[in-house]
Amino acid sequence: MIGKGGVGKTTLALAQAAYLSSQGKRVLLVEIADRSSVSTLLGIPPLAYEITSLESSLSAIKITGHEALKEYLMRQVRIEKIYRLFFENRPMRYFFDAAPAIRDLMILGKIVHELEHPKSGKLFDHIVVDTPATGHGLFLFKTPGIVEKITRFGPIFQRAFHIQSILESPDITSIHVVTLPRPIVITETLELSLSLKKLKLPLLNLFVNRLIFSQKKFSAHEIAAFSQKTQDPTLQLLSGRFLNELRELKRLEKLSKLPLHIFSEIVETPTLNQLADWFGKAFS
Amino acid sequence: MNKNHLLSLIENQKLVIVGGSGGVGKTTLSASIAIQAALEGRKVAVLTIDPARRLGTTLGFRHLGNKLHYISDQKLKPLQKRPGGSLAACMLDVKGTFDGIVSRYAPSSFIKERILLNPFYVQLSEALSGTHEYMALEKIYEIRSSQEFDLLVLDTPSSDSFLQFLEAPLRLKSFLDRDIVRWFSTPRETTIGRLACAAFGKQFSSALSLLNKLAGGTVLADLANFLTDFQSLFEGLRERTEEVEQLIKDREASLFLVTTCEVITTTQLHQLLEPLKAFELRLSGFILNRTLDSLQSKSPSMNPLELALSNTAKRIITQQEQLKKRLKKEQPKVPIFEVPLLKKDPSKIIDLAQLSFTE
Repeated sequence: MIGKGGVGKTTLALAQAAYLSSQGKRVLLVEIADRSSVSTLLGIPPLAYEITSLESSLSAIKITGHEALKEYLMRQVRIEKIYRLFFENRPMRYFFDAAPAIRDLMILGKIVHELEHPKSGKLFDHIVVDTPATGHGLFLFKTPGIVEKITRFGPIFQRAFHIQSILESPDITSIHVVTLPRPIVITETLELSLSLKKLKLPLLNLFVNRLIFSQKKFSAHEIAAFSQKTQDPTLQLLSGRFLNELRELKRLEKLSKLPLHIFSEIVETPTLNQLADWFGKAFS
Repeated sequence: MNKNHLLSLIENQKLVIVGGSGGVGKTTLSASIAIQAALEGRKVAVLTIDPARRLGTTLGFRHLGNKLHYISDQKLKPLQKRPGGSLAACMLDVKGTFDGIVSRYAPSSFIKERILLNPFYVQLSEALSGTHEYMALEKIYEIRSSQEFDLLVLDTPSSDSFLQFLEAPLRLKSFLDRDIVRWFSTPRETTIGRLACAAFGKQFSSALSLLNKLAGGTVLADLANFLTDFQSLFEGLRERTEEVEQLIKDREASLFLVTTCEVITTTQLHQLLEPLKAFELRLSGFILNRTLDSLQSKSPSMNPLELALSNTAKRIITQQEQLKKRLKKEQPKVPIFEVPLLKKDPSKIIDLAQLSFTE
């Protein structure tokens, strides 16, 4: 799930995860780096770098670069004491500070690791990833290529190569781009889709979030008529805004080659069931 | 009620920083503040750090780049600009600014080329976490020292990186003060890290050789080269960083936090307020974006569309009232400005010039 800040990536990632889980799939929801949107949305304590169960078949984890790197290095040296001796010192921390790409690669590496070798031994059917906003999100996807350039050979190079091949494979990965029915956001979304395509990432869906309400309920005609008629400036404003949103949707339908799925407002602090429902209705 | 109170509040300010979480409208509001100040006759520059290209789109540039672009007087004149006022905009291009620093401070063109081609440099200059914020400082310095402007409006990236931005001077300073560069780089003609081994013992050299094995043999040599070369830029950077740090904390700088009234953004706003205290920054105001006026018709309607719209409006209004109450209670001295929701998000200069910030 990728998109610019504030479009509702977390809500949609969580909703998709809840939906898949309600269909009987084993799902892992991944939150990346120093965000805590998933827990804010659900009103639960912040997620940690440990798979926590949210529901019978839905688990969640927060992956930070620091902890993912530690886990990777631990797999190489195996003994915590040695890891601490080797890597928990200032020069080493500094080395990894100077190479943010390696740290970010480890985040992707951890996701791939959970995909291939889950701790429980039972594979997840789906891993849903809530990425950071556009800029950092894009950088994250660029890291395998960047790390390949820094290292040129060796195990980390091979790791980067493997991760890249998984990201590029349409059988394994699908990218969903989230947007809003507003002119500037849509322009940015189209630019983002282009950048993702250049990285050879398999784009699958475009999710348009936060339509004032479901478009199926009322026709554009009906709304336009109401907007003309109403005396209340606030209602006139909202109906006018809704009409503009519908217009933006039309524009997006024309410009984007991806299938569109449209989501209207959802209640604040929704439950997992409400999220799954909301997602299922818009998706089917 | 004072329509342009925000503008009079910043009348004597030299730097206006606009912060807040993603999607609340920081870029639009920054552009609007900048335009309105320019119309009042000030020489304004607006800088966006947000990697997205919104500011350019809004101000009508096809390619808003690393250099300042002036908005033509013809575009501003019809808006009754006072004489003397001007508006320039620029979008922070991290790599461009970084390359600029290297070119300016590198002691020789040989070292300059070597830095620019080093793979560590290449990834650092592309990475967003960290580098971005330093480059913003550099750009602020550049714009300020050109003395062409009397107001700089800064549109910051969303919350987590906004804090990183505020921390940047401090982090850069500690980075520069550390003798860490030596650990990796001093003995690079001999074996890497010999000096470091003296300081950190044998485990450090074992760690280095393991790292060499994991990351391919040339990585550490590249890093050592990079750090040594980069060291030569440090002095110039350090001075600038200190000046910008002063500028941000100055009485002539103000910070506005933008939010909308949704639960998520409200929560994010509060997550931002706590760490902000540590930065000795004066919070000049909250800007509550996309607010609604209360409904006039009180009686419930039979028309399902009207009912649905009324319910949406009521929900938004309740949330915004709750948020205002909470902010007033927590920060009684900080004014709250409201920017109304519009039929269409403002995207033209004329819309931005007319946006009202009502207290």
